[in-house]
Amino acid sequence: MFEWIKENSIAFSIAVILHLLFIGALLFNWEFDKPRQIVLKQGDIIQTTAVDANSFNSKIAEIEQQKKAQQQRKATAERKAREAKEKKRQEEKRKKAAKKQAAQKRKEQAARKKELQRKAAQLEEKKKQEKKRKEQKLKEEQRKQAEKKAAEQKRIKEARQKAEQEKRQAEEKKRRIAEQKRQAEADKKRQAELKRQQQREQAERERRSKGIVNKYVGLIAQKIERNWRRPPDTAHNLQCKIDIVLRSNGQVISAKIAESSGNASFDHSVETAVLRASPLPVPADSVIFKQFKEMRLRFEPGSY
Amino acid sequence: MKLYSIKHLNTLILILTGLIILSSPAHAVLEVEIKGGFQSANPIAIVPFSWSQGSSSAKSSIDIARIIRSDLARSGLFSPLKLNQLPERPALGGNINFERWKNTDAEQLVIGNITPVGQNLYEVKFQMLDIFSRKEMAAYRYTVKQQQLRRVAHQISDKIYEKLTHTHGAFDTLIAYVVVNNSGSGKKRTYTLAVADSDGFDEQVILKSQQPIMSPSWSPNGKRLAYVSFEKGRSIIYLQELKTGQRKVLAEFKGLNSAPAFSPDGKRLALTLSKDGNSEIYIMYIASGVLQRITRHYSIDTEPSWSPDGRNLIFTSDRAGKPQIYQIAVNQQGKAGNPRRLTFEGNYNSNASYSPDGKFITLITRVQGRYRVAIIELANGYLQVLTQSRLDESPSYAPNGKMILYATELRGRGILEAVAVDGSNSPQRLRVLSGDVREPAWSPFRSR
Amino acid sequence: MNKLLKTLPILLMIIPLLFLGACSSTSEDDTNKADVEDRTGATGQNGEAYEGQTGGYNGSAMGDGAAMNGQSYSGDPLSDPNSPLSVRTIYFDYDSSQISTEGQSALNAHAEFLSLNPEQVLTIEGHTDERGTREYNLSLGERRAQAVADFLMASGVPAQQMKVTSFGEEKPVALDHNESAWQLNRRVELIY
Repeated sequence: MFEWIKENSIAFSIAVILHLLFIGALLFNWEFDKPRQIVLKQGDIIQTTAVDANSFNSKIAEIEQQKKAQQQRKATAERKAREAKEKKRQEEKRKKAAKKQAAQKRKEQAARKKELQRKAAQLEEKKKQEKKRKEQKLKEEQRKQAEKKAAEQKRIKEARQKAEQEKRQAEEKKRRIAEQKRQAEADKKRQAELKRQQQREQAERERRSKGIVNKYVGLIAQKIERNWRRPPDTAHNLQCKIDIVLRSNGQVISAKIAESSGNASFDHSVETAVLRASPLPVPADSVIFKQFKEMRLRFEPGSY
Repeated sequence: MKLYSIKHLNTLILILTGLIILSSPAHAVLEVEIKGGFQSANPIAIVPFSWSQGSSSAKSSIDIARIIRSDLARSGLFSPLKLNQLPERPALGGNINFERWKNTDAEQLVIGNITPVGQNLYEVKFQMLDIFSRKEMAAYRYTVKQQQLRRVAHQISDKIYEKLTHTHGAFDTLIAYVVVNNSGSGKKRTYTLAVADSDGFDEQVILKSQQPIMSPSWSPNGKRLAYVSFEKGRSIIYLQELKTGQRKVLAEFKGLNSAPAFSPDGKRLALTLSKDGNSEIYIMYIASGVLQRITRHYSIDTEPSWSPDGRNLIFTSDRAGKPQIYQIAVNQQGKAGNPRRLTFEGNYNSNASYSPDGKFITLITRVQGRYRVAIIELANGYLQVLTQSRLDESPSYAPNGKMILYATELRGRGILEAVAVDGSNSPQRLRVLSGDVREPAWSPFRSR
Repeated sequence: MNKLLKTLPILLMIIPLLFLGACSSTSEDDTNKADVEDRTGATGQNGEAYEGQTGGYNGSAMGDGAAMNGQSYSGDPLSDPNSPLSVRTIYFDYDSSQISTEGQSALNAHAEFLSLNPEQVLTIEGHTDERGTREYNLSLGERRAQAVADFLMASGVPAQQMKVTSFGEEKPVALDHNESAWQLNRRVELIY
């Protein structure tokens, strides 16, 4: 609670002041003790609760207390008569004091009112000054604003100029790039055209080469087959591979059995067939011939 | 710009070529498939052998090259060039124009020379060259007497055969056979047991008789012949030394004594005797004459033949009604099993004998009333008829198993023919002798 | 019974020929006669015994005619071409050793003769045609000869009077290579 007050002291103070002003303006007969009584009452209740708790513990002395209470009641009656007299006297004394107090209070209130008026004037003056200050400040701010605006406009103008320049430059660059690109594409196209042409030529070359290769493979097979005499007493399921090396004129330089048939006579017949068929028909084109320089021949009688 | 492109193209080509060259040994070697070809006898050129130093009586009588040509041709595996097909006749050690030889059919070239080196002594040299590889394939030298020149020719044939077929040649072998001559009115017959070279030449008479001679059988060492002679009016088995002519009776039991067959170890003789009632197979220990009876059946059991391992006999029996071939296991104690029938095709199969490797048997089978030479592969029982004749008899394997010699008839007269076991050639007629030739028996390999 | 019926016509044919006995003996082949004479000389007793037997034989079959025959013919019955004993060859079917009825009737005569002439020895030679293999044919010839010997033995001829042998296809009588030649070669020869 106090911390909260502490933390919000200004707000609290204003609230208190406002309350006081409100009370002072409307209720001149304000009882200032009332909040204090409330506080005290609250403290009594706490005490009572404590007594109640203690009374539980002193049950044994209860009868004695009752006796005591009887005596007390007698004493109380006497005391009450005394107290009533005292009270009447006290009351008159208190009324006299209250009259004096009220006069004092009125005096204090007048002083307080004068003080409040002074304070209000002071506040008015402060407000006036504040207003003036504020106006000045506004003026200053407006001035500053104008300056700022001018600077901003200047800046924008400069930025625009710069942007335009940059744009021009970018466009120039773009144009250049486009030009380069166009040129590159033209180059590329040219290159592609060249490549296509080369590929066409290559394909044509390969096609022609393939045709030539196939033709000569056929011719070679045919010539060797014509010259392949197999021994009469060999089986039809024999097979043999022979590696041959040719000179460019088709002459067989070497013929070596790569995979034997297992039958020496059959193998020999294969060697003889190759040598007998030499020179083999080979393409005149030296590039294509390279495929024929070394060959593997697979011999099998086939089924019939 | 154009120049640039050409340069560029060249580079490209260079790169591509490089790729081809690089890749070709690895995987792209051109593989060409050669199918078919043609199966035929090996064409070989045998140039007539030249004679050094003047004349000799042998020069006119012996033509070694001709003997070789005839030998090789008879095998069915060779087709020697005719003399007029030879482009040149190079001398041994002389220049050879291979290019000219390449234009002939020949694949090999055989050149030889004969030089008299002393009294009736000759040195024979020969060389075989491969015409296409120009390599020497064989070269041998022999020093022999004049009467051995013919045998040298057969030995040269064997060398050539062995070099080119990788099989033992069987030209330097002998054949035994029987010749019958009907003299005069036809009533009188002369039977001759003879031995000749495998080509039918150089015939030597072993026995002459007015009574039939049958069933010559070679001892495994090739030095003796067992045969059946009726010179005493009935069949008796004799054993004769070829070199000395000495002979002795092996079996003259009551009844038939026939069909002798030497065991592979040469110690025993399988034979047919009817001393116990009818024809049965026996084994005789030649040295002691001890007999072991192998068959016991009221039917005819005859024509025994030994398996090359000596563990089985095959024989002809009509125990099932018609003659068929049976096999029976034998051991040193005689019979070692029960007969097992081997032939089921046709109703006449007889006179079987084993091939030298024991995998086949050759036999006479009746096909549509004709008696032909056939072989049976024992592993699967397949029967293959090898001839087309009317009446073949006595098939006999060459010791290398590549040919079968047999008797057949030509215009009613008995002649000898040989046929390749694989049926690769037509039957080859041996030299036709005068008279009726029959019952050929091919000798074992000769010791050289 | 069948046998008898088959034999009867032959015997009936023989009777008239027997009257020409002297004539027929002169017509014989010289060499054969010499061979036969040699044999007759060696077996003179046999000849007599034969005569007597023949008489008995004929008597049983022919009655009176037989007596006349006995008187008119004085030679060896084995050389008598009119005797059933002149049938010396028995023919066979292919690859068979079955004796035909004709063969059986001839063999009956031989059995009779051999029973009456215990000193006579008969060589029985089996032959085959050229077809088939030689050794098998040799055995087949023997089987045929044996079949004949068995028949004779069943007819009362003792085994010791017979010699069985075979020549297989080695001794053909016909040299052609056809059925008619083969028929002639598939045979058993009876040789005294």
